[in-house]
Amino acid sequence: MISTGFKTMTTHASMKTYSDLKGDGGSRVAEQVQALKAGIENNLSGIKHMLAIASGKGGVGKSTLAMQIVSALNHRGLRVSVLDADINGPSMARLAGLKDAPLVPGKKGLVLPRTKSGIGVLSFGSMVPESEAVDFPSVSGGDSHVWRATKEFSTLAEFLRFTEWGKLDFLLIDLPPGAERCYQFAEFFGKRTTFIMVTIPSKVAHGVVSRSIAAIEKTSSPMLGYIENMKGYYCADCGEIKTLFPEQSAKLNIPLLGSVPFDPELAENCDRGITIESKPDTPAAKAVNQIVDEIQIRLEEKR
Amino acid sequence: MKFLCVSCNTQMKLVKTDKAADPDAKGSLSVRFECPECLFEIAMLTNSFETQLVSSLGVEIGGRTVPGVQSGETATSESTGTEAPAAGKCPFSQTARDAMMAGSGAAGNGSPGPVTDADSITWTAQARVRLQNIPEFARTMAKMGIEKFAIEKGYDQVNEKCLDEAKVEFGM
Repeated sequence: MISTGFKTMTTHASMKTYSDLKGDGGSRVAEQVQALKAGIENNLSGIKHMLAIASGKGGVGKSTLAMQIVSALNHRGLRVSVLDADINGPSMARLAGLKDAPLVPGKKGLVLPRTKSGIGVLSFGSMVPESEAVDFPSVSGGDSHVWRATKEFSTLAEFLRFTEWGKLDFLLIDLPPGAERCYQFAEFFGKRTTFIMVTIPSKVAHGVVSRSIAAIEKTSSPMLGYIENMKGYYCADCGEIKTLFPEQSAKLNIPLLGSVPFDPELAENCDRGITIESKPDTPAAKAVNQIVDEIQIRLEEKR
Repeated sequence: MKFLCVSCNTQMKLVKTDKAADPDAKGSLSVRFECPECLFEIAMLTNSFETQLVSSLGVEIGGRTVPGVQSGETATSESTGTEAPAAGKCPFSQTARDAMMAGSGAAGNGSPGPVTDADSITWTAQARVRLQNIPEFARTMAKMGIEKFAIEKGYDQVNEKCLDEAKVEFGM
């Protein structure tokens, strides 16, 4: 017994520890986090395959390829949607021609904006003009480096939970660059999301993507393989694929799903929200369709 | 985070907090806990940095009691669109939001937009619930878009029929 002058206090020989206490006394913070996770799981239960298109390296064409892959899948009659998880540099809205798409509250959450061909696209590019940075209200001026990533993931979690995804054969997730981001997103999405890596045939890109693969391998997330983008340059004048990068002898240590040549016309069309399905005979379109074949075969083998 | 009354060796419980408990420092929160045995009270006071961290988790201390309803939104009474308090909702939730908004300076992408003609449009309770059940980040943009749609259609009220109509018209 200790007398403090204010109150008689007793010190217990075995003072309770954190794990001895049931619940959190009414703060309900952990409970809300768990409820959100359960809600996400339930809301995504109608999705057959979740594919994350990742790289670690920026500028390799992740978003462009993601849009072309989802377009090819859609053309095959599959139910598909895209989640643009690149909150700070969203490009899917433009690639899909949905930069000014209206947002409608539905019966079970946000209604997915759709392209004319029916692809659902959720992108921050539909919510924030390209001339503005994505911003969050904050009382902690100057310390965004501490809380920003947490806020981004909780915002993303909210979109996973409160969007009408419905029944889908494929949900493609376009990830932001950064090897450490690959790791964070792999942990965030968990093992139900399969990763597809994208690289270009340069030593620098291979180095960064290798590091990203190593990061993802530390998690429970499966990786299907990688796509080599910009493998040569398609010359429309002579109809040939010309060399763009020096030939790489080193391969990444996951399966190669296929290679796609750089096509200036495709790049121009992407800026206008036009997908390869409108130009199915181009080398890039053929290559993407071969990759989609490979993806479907490998996913079926894994089942 | 849990609080233990050392003298009773008993877990302290969150007690109802009112706005008066909110200190005048911008962005700071005050949460009172009480020992259920000796009724001794303590207050957890956060600085703006800690407030921001909790907010970034997307949670509210004390919890949400209206399923799907996000921070700062209030359920409305049937048909009229007038505000009605959500049953059992912890007042701290609003305190947290007030503190967030008071200290934020910049509004951010998720904050209310400028005053427009759409201010005269009312939302029915059911339509507002739908709005509350979409991600907070998209809410302002969705609200503005739907009100613009309603004005173009000559409606003075957003109801579920209007939302369904917008969905069809926008090709969703």
